[in-house]
Amino acid sequence: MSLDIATAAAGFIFLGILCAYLLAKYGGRASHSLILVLALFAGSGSLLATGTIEMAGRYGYSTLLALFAFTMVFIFSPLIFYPIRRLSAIIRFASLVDFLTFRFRGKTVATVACSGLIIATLPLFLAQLLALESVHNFLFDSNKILFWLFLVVVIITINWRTIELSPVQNLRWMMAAAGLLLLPALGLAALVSVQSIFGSIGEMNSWVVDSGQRFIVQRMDSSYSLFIIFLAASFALPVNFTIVISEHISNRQAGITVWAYPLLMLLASIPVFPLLWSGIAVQSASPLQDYLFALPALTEHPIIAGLGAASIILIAIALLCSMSTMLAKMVLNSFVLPDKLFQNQPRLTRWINLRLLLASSAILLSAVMLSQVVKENSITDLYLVGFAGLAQLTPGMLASIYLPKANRRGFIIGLIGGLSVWLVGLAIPLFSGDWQWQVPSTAITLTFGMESWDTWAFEALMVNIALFTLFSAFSKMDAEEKLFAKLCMVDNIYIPARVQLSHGSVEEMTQSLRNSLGDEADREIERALSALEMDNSETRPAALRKIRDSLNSSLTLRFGVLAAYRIMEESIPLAPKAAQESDDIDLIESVLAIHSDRLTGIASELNKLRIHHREIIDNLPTGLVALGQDGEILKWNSSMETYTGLSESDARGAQISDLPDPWQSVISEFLDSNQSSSENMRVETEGNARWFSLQKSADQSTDNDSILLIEESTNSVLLTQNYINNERLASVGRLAAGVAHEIGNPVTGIACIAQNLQHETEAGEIQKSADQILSQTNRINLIVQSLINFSRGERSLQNNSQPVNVREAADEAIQLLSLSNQQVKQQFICTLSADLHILGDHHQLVQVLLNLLSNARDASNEGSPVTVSGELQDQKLSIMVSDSGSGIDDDIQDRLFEPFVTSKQPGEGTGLGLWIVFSLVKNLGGEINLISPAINSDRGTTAQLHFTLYK
Amino acid sequence: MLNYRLVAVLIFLSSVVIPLASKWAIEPQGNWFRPFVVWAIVVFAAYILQRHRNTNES
Repeated sequence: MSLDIATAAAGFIFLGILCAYLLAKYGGRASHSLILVLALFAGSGSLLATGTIEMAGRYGYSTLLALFAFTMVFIFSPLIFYPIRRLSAIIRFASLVDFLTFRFRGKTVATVACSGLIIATLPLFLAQLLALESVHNFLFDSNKILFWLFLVVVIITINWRTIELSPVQNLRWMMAAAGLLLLPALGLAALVSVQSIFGSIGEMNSWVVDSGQRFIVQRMDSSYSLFIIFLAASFALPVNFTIVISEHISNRQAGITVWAYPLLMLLASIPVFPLLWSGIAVQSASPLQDYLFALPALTEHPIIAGLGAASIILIAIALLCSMSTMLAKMVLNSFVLPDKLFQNQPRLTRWINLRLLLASSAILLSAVMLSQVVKENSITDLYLVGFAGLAQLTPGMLASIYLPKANRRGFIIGLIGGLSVWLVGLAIPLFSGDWQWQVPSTAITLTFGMESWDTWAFEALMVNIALFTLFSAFSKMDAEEKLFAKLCMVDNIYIPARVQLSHGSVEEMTQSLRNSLGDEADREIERALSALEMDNSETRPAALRKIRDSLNSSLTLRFGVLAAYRIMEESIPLAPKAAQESDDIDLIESVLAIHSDRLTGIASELNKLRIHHREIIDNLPTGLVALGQDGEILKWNSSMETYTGLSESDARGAQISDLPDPWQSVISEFLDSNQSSSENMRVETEGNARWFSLQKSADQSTDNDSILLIEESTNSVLLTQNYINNERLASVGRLAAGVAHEIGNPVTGIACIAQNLQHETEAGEIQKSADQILSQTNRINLIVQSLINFSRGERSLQNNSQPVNVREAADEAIQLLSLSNQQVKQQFICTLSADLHILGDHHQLVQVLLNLLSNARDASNEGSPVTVSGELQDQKLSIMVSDSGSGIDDDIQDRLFEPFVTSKQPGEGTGLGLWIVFSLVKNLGGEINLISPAINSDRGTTAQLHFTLYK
Repeated sequence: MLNYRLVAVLIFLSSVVIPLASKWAIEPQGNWFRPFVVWAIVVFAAYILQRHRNTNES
């Protein structure tokens, strides 16, 4: 029979581990949540598998109340664990001791809390060992020394693998396997026991009434003490804290624990009473704590008995492994690592892992040795004592998040006081046996030990709370304590201040961190950069602060609060305060965005107002830059993004000196100047000139942030320049008109004299000279007429509208050009249809075509023709004058219609021709544009005129 | 930023529900599994509250 049970147990252990492993490796999100809850469920250890049956026999329904209280920590997680989880998202706490050390500060806190937690959990270790010993005794009659040796080797081996791989993740699925076996083990054991002993559940119910058990279980002795102690212990249970706080489980997973954990506990509690009654009914000789496997064995169900034994073995070993590694981590973080010089330690991770294994093995061996001298053999008693000890950590934990005035002295003295009462009243009697003491001169006799468990457990907690309150109320907190007390408050959102760092780049930080961490520094920096999706070229102060925070978080998780604090202070200290530290607006905004759902009432309305104001600032048509006291950019609105092409995420957190040119020099120079505003500063961006007006806040003292407003004034400046240019041209025009008038009269006289000379002489040389004089005076007249036309501007253009034949105008222009005295005779080809008309002035159109053909001729090489063609589309007539000359340079193409702009050599053109063309075309109601190279060609120019066709 | 809903639930539970539920659960004439029914109702309530919380957060 024993062999069958042992074989079945071995099979179930293998099966349970396999199932949990497969779920962890291949399961989806739901499987991972299930593993998490099962691991938490198994975190209570052999209490559910063994202790609760004995508790039910001893305390009746009070047991249910105690178990329910044990689950309440999860039901009320939003009030207890969630605030610590929020803080732990920024500062990763490896254990409860780390959290308490962070809150109350100092090595004394770490020492007292760690020692207290270790001695409080020792009874839980003993309970697991006792459960394993019970199973062993039931199944085998072998040598006990061999059993202990085997057990220690197994646990140390599991611990070694776990520490090597990942301290928590691997134990999680092992604990989940234990939880996975426990539920069916309890259910099936109860079912087969009831079926075999009573025949049916109905029969059992009748027996419960007839035997008076219904009244027995309904007693509520010690219910209040059990409720309080189990509730308090569940807060401080290392497994709960580690899984819910230290591990990076998602909020969704944490939310599932709120109802799933109490549900599993409920399912595990239901079979407890049927098992108890079955054992009582059958008058089993086995201890109540062995009923899970003893009753199925008694009723000839070896496989169910094997399942029960397997669940106890697995759950006890899983808890021994997880608790020993967790406590080892606390010991290292509290006693070893705070003073360790990491830079001198080669292969640091291996060194730490080895110490973890040594510490966990030492804790385990101590527990095994103590288990040999413990007088108490009841798992329930060990749990009750252990929970009473763990409850001593709870006042400090709750005060950390709810009482800002709770201080270090109060915590240390309260914990020592509570633990002392607990040690004397409950823990020491576990080994010495219950004893009594008559208080001198009184009739009072004190009983130490389990007989007065509820009294001592409650007294210890009350002493702890009383001392904590008293010393916190009458002792002062230093500034550091106050700061960290505020950070840990339940309604506080941890936002690191915008402190200044001594380092200006990632490289400097790495170099400095190497002095404290050695080679590990590079890995830590890489990890932080990867987590923040940054690279090592980062120099922005805000980014460097984030890297520092990330490093601090990572080091806290690895080495504990004390060691991480020392390393950060040594390597990446904060710069001496140049000014009062200000809040990090960016961080506040991001945190508010994340936690906006927590805001209610006025806070929620204020948050809406904040968002509204932020949107106003973001959408301002003026660029806005907010600068901190240290010159760091706190705000960079969307207009600034448009002006500079630099996104807010890149600019925010940087110094002005980090900005790219020209903005860095423009803003720096303006900030350094004494001016409060600067109009129309010229800024060259991407080869284009732009103009900006800058203004800064009046108060530029170092105590306040400063505001810089930047507004683009390019359009205004261009308009002003245009106006000035027009004024200049108007002046030139007036001057030109006067000059033309003065020149015109003598030139007319010269022309008359030349004509007279022509008529009065027949000498060929003189006639030729007279011709040349007339030719030159004509040229002077042409220039003078151009100047007069220019000076008159558009006012001179009278609109004498009548249908104009385009072909006739073109022919006339070509004819006029052919009559000129140019040395080079150019060929003009006109393909315009003879029936095309536009509405306008014939002479103006001739003038337009004359100027265009003249320019085309001047640009063309000898022999290459100039063409005039037309194109009709949707009542729109396009006249193209094309040449195959040198074309127009890009740099003057946009300005050719401006007056005095010419591509010709000086002296060859006035630069007024195209301007006149532009004015005349506009007067004719058309448009003109120049295309270079010419249409359907790789050289030359096409002047395109667009008119509405007249029918 | 106190969680007012949770506080309200706590007050209601401690002043009304728990006394009534515990009285009903341990009545001498009642079935032995009544306390488990109360526990199951608490679990269901926790599930509903948590689901409501998730909906608000998403």
